[in-house]
Order: sequence, then structure tokens, then C-alpha cells
Amino acid sequence: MREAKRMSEFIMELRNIKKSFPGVQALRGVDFTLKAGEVHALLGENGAGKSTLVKIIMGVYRKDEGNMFLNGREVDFLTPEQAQSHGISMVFQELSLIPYLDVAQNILLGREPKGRGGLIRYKDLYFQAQALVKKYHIDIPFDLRDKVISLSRGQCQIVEILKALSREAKILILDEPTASLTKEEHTLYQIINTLKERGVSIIYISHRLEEVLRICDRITVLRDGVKVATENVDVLNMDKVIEMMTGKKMESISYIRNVQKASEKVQRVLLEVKNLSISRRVFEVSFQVNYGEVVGVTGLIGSGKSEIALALFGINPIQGGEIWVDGQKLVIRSPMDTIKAGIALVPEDRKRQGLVLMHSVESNIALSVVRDYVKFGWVQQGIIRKKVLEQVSRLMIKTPNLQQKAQYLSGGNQQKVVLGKWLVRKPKLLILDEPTVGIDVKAKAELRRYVREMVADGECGVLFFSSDLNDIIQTCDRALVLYRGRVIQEYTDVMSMGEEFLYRAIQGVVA
Amino acid sequence: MLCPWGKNFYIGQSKELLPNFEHREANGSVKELEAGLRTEKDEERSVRKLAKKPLLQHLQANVALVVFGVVIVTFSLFNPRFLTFDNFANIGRQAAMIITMACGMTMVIVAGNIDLSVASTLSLAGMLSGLVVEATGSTLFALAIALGLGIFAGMTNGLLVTRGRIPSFLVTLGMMGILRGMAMLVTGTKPVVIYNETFWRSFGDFDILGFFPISILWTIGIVILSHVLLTYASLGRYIYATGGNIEAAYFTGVNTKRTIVVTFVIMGLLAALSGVMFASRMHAARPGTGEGMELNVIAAVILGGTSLAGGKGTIIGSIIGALTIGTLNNGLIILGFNTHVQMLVRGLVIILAVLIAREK
Ligand SMILES: Nc1ncnc2c1ncn2[C@@H]1O[C@H](COP(=O)(O)OP(=O)(O)OP(=O)(O)O)[C@@H](O)[C@H]1O
Ligand SMILES: [Mg+2]
Repeated sequence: MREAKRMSEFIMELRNIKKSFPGVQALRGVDFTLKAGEVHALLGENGAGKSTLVKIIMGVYRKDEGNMFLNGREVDFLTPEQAQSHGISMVFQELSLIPYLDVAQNILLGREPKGRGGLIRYKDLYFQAQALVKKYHIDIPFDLRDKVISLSRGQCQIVEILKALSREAKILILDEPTASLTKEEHTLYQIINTLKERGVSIIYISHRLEEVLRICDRITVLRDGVKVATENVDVLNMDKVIEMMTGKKMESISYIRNVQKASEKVQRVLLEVKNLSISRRVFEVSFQVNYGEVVGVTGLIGSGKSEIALALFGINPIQGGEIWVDGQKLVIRSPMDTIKAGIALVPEDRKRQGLVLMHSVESNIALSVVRDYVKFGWVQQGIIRKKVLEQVSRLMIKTPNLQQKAQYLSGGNQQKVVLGKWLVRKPKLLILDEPTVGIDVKAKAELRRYVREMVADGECGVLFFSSDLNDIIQTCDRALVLYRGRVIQEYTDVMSMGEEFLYRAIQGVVA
Repeated sequence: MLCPWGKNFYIGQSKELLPNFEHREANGSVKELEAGLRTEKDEERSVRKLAKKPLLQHLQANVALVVFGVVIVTFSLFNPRFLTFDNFANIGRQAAMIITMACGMTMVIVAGNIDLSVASTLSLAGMLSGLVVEATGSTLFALAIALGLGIFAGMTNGLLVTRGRIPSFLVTLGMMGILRGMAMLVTGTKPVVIYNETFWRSFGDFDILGFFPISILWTIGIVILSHVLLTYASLGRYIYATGGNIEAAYFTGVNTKRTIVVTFVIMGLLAALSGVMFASRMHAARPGTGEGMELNVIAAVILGGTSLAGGKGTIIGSIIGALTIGTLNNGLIILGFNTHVQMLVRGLVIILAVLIAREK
């Protein structure tokens, strides 16, 4: 009798799930329950085991031990297809769309409507995709016939979700869906609401805790592969969640920047950008960065942040304008030129542009310093290893050893490897493009502190591109707001500004 | 993991394992971390871990070595003549060129490309060196001309791949035809007979102290240089990075285009040197020399654990791959099989080996 009751309350139940990888015990006996129609957040630091747990639910990994019940019946999925046929769908942390197919083709991939002779009926395909969009009342910020390669990462995420929905999922798993969303956030929240109304359960993984507290019903926290607690959101607040995640008091984690007055002595200009234009994306942008300064650049996705970052680093060609470093005009043909001038970039798309996934943590971090420690063409391994170790411990990169391949790290730890790769070089001008996306609260605070420390000696400067307004407020001396490729505002007193104020500013509402 | 010495090998580092970071307080000083590097416990643990590995995994990691061993044991069981120094010197002499070229090919493939033109380069370089040495009498000059050709061919390949943005498969397929055609044209398909004794003795037809073939000495030199270059030089790092993720390498400031061109130039140089070695051993250069050899070279490299997709591979692995193929050929000949059976068996062994080595 009691069993039956439990059945009705939970649509899914996991008991004592264990999973280990070579050298890592990722899950040490985790329990988890999911109610019908709830949004259940799964929280924890980078490498806590969140992705591993949902991948086990999805049949991507096999559990070593434990049981999984779906509607009271024990199940064990060997492949994602089996999970899907039981009404479970997942949007993976690593996106999995086919770039040269269009949106509708991607959504219905493998389930295309076929006519006689087994040929795809494209008319029906677009019709079905359109019907799906209508059914969930979604305003999609793109066309169903757009090729996926032309979409931003945020838009891809929406496509992924549509793809999951097209399978009539009863349980939807979202692994860091908002990591690359800004403008599309509203679309996502809207979808989540519609799904809740329809009784779909959602497992939601995110490092953006404000958002979690806003949209989720219950929270389960993992730490080092162990479940810490499951709680209703109404009894929680931010500090409590952070405490559960890290096992430490909030105050010891968050980075509180001590107030610094701009120094009295004459400012030395490090970087000067004059009337920078990049084809149809960025128009006549001018600004400067002084030594010892962190300059923030914020704005919505598509406002031109990444374009400017890539152009300054020599990857995007520049249509007009000049870039001066240390009072000398810089001729930029490729990143080789800018690196020589002392500029470094932590790119936004780290999987593709930042990491060699098949190589070890050590060789990834070392790659950027190889050139600095070469004697007669030979690499000085000892010194480099020391530098690598320093970064691994500073950023708390969770890896069984330095030889672990980057592809086996958790998503957030991969990000940290890319950060470490550039921090290890101590460049003159460090350009950070969305550096805090996907990393946990502790690491975020650590990064902000490190950036401040870096510029403290006045020997370098940082250009900090971010759509996380807390990054800007807590880290930067000055901030530029970009809107549709133009600088619409520059703030010199960033610290005293509220988040809401900035939020309005990036929407183009200038006070 | 395909490469014979596992992951520690290709970045050229020792087997030290770091202590687990999982429960370590993150602010531990670097000194502390380093001190932890060589604790006995860790060593014990890593040894135990290795010991726990199932047999199959060991087999996978060292498949080229295992196949090599099996081949040697099998042949020596069937024919006592196989297991003699003379025969091994013979295998070495025959495999010398494949090994030399496999060194270059490893770099080309690890950097994410392929070179099909090596056998044609080999034959044209042999022809040119033969013609030059007969015309001028200068071995050095002949070598220089041949190597010059190799550099030129490699450079052209590299530039077409990087600047022309043509896939290397196509570029080198074209180059394969062009160079072979040129080799045929220089003498109107007639072989060049070489009478210059210095030339013979410098590269192929000479045994040091009466027993050690000079071509093997050349090859050993090339192998050591290549291994050191790929493992300890910054160029090596750039080659792995370029093949592993060209975009990430470019973002890191690696000159990916130059890196790729350099791998092709090295490949061209080594192919040309092999041509000289072959002509010198044979006392003649033929335009048809080495047809199909490029596939043997590529097979040796893949057998040795290099990933065709790039980013992964070792010189040592390729050498073992080349020796396996060389030994296989030699053994089959000694056992009296004809070339058709040789081809068949070789094909089977390659597929089988790669099947075992496949990850997961
Ligand atoms: N395929 C794998 N092989 C080896 N180790 C793995 C593998 N996948 C995950 N791990 C390890 O398991 C642990 C948990 O990883 P997981 O991806 O579940 O973390 P996460 O909680 O999702 O973190 P993040 O917030 O960074 O995404 C990590 O230490 C990670 O290095
Ligand atoms: Mg994850």
C-alpha cells in the first residue's frame, strides 16, 4: 500500500546511484526524486557530478550500482533512445546539432515525415516544426529555415529544446541551458512555464543561482558526488544554497572588493581603440584601457562584444579604425601579432577555440607558454609544469592528475583549463570574453579576485567582456555599455551602480 | 589509447601522477603539490592501477608491439633461418626507407593531414641524384639536388594545403602524379645506372665494421631526431596542437599554417633522402621505384597508433608499425609465399590490428 502511494507522488525516483570513472568516483550513492510537473534544480560545484547523474538517467552512462524507478517500475536504460522512448529528453551541456542542416531539419532529425518510396516530404516537415512552435506558444528569434551554423549559441539552445519537445517528453532535462542565453532567456522561461502547465517535469542544472531560485520548485544539491540535501525553494535563500553547495559560509566565498580610489598619479594608457568598425556588426567604437585598470564591456548577445574581442585579438578583420598599444599603432594580421604585443584572449567558445579535447590538462595549459620557455627550440618542461600546477590549484581545477584528457573533465572544469591557459602567461592586456559562464560560485569569486590582483601592480590591464552584470559591478573600474554595435554609455563609477540599473542600460534604456 | 607507451609518452613526461585534487584544499602551495608528486604511495597506487587493468586494455595500448611480437615468434617457429642477425640486418635494410618516411608521415598525420606523394618524391629524387652523380661525380651535390627537390615538393604541398585551402588528400594525390610523371620523363622511362662508388657506400651499400648496414645508421639518426623534435621541441607541441584542434591552436597564437608547411617539408626531405638511399643500395634509380609505397608508410603509421584524424601519435609507434610490416613481408618471403599472398596477409594484419586497437 505504501509503495503505491510513493509511486503516485514521484514520477521518477533514483536510489543509491554510484558511478566511477578511471581515477574518479563521480557519484557515491545519490538519491533523487522528481514530482510530476515540477522544476527541480540540480546544483553543485564544478565536477560535483550533476552531468554524470543526468547522463545516467538518459542512458548515456551505465550506473555502477543503484536503482532507478519510473512511475514505480524499475528501469535501466542502455541508450538515449531507450530513455527517449520512455518520455525522457535531454538538452546536453555540449550542443549536438548538425550545423549545415536548417532548424526544422534538426528538430525532426531521424523522424522526418516520409512519403511513398521513403523520400522526405519537406512540406510536411516544415509544417510539423511550425505546429510544434505554435503548440508551446514560443516566439522563436529565428526562422525555421535558417541553417543552424548561422545561429548564435543561445539560439541553438532553443533549437535543442524544441528538438527535445518534439519527442513529447514527460521529463525534460536541461543541463546549463542558460550558459549562453541572454536575449533568449525570456523565451526559455516562457517555455518552462508552458511545460509546467502541461505537467512536464523538468530537471534544471545551472550555476546561475538567482535564476534557479526564481524558476524552480525544489532543489537538490550535490557535493563531491554525494547528495547534500533536497529542499523546497520557499525555505531557501541565496546564502543557504551557496552554503549547501560549498560547505562554507557565504562570506568566506564571495569576493568583496575593497574600495580603491583611482590613483592620483598620471594614468598610463595601455590600449587605445579609435573608431573601430567591424562589418555591419560594430560601428565606430572608441575607448581606452589604462595600466592597472579593469574595463568592463557589457551588452546583450549580438551587441558586438565578442566581435570586438576577436578583432582586438586579430581574428576578426577590422573594417575601419585604429588600435594603439603603448602609444604605438598596431598592425594586426593574425593572433601572432597581437600576442607579440602582449595581448591575450580567453575566447567565448572554449570548446572549439580554447581546448584540444584529446590532449591532457597539462599540455592544454602549457601550450600558451611554450613559446616563453624555449631554449634553442627545446621546451623547458620543468618550469612549465610548475606554472601549470600553480594554475590548477589556483582555479581549483578538479582532475585526478595533470595527464587527464581535457575531454574527461566536467564542463566547468574545462572552462577553467582555458582560463588557466591564459592566466599562466600574465599578459600585458588580458581580454576575457564571458569568462564566468559555466563556472561555479567559488571559482567565479576566485577569478574576480585574481583579475583584481593581476592589475594591482599597475603593469597590465584587463578588458572584461561579460553579460553577467555582477562580473562588471564587482570587478571593473569602468564599464562600457554596447547596444547594437555602438557604445551607448560609459560609466566610471561602476561599483555604486545597481544591477537593475545596468540591466536597463544594456536593453538600450539610457538613464 | 593507441600509442604504445601510453599517454605519458607523447608529451615526453615521466609517469608521475599528481595526487588527487578532489579533496585537497585548493590553496595548497605549489611546493606542497610538487612534493606530493613523487610520494611512494602515489607510485604504489599507479602501479596497482596498472596491474588492475584488464588484459584487453593492455593489449589495446600496445597493439603494434604485440603484433610485432606475434609475427616474430610465428616466423621463427616456422623457419630457424628467420631468427639470425643477417636476416634482421636484411629486414632493417628493407624497412629503412619505410621507417625514414614514417617519421615524416607521423608528423604530417599528427598535424591533421596526409601525404600521398612520398613514393613519387622518392623515385624522382633517386633519379635526379643518379643523374647528377653520374654527370658531376659529386655525391654531395647529388644529395643536395635530391634534398632540394624534396623541400620543393613538400613546400608546394604545404602551401597548397594552407594557402590554397585544398585538402591535403587532393593536393598530394595530384603531386603524386606530377612527380611520377616527371620521373618517367627525365630519361624516357629508362633507369639510371650508377657507377659512383662513394655514392653507393655513403647511403646504402656499405656495412660499418663489416656487419652494420649504413642505411640503418642513417635511419636511426633520423628516428632519434624526429622523436626528439616531436617530443621536446616547441615545434612538436605545435604539431600536436594543430592536429588536435586547429582553431584552438590558432587562438593560442600557434602559427598553424607554418606548422603544417613545415611538416610537409620535413616529409619531402625524408622521402627524398629515402630515394637516395634506395638508389645507392641498388646502384641504380628507376622511375617506377616504390609505386604503392606511400600506402605502406601510412599503414605503418596508423598501425603504430597515430590517429588519422590528427592530434595523436608517436614516432616510436610508427617505427614498430613499420618494422611489423617489414618483418611480415620478410617472413612471408622466407616461408616461400608469393607477393600475392604477402599482400593479402598484410592487409588482414593491418585491419585486425587496428580493430583491436580501436578505442572502446
Ligand atoms: N567520461 C569521463 N571520464 C572520466 N571522468 C569523468 C568523465 N565524465 C565526468 N568525469 C568526472 O566526474 C566528475 C563529475 O563530473 P560531472 O560532469 O558530472 O560534473 P558537473 O557537476 O556536471 O560539473 P560542471 O558544473 O562543471 O558541469 C568530474 O570530476 C569529472 O572529471
Ligand atoms: Mg556538467
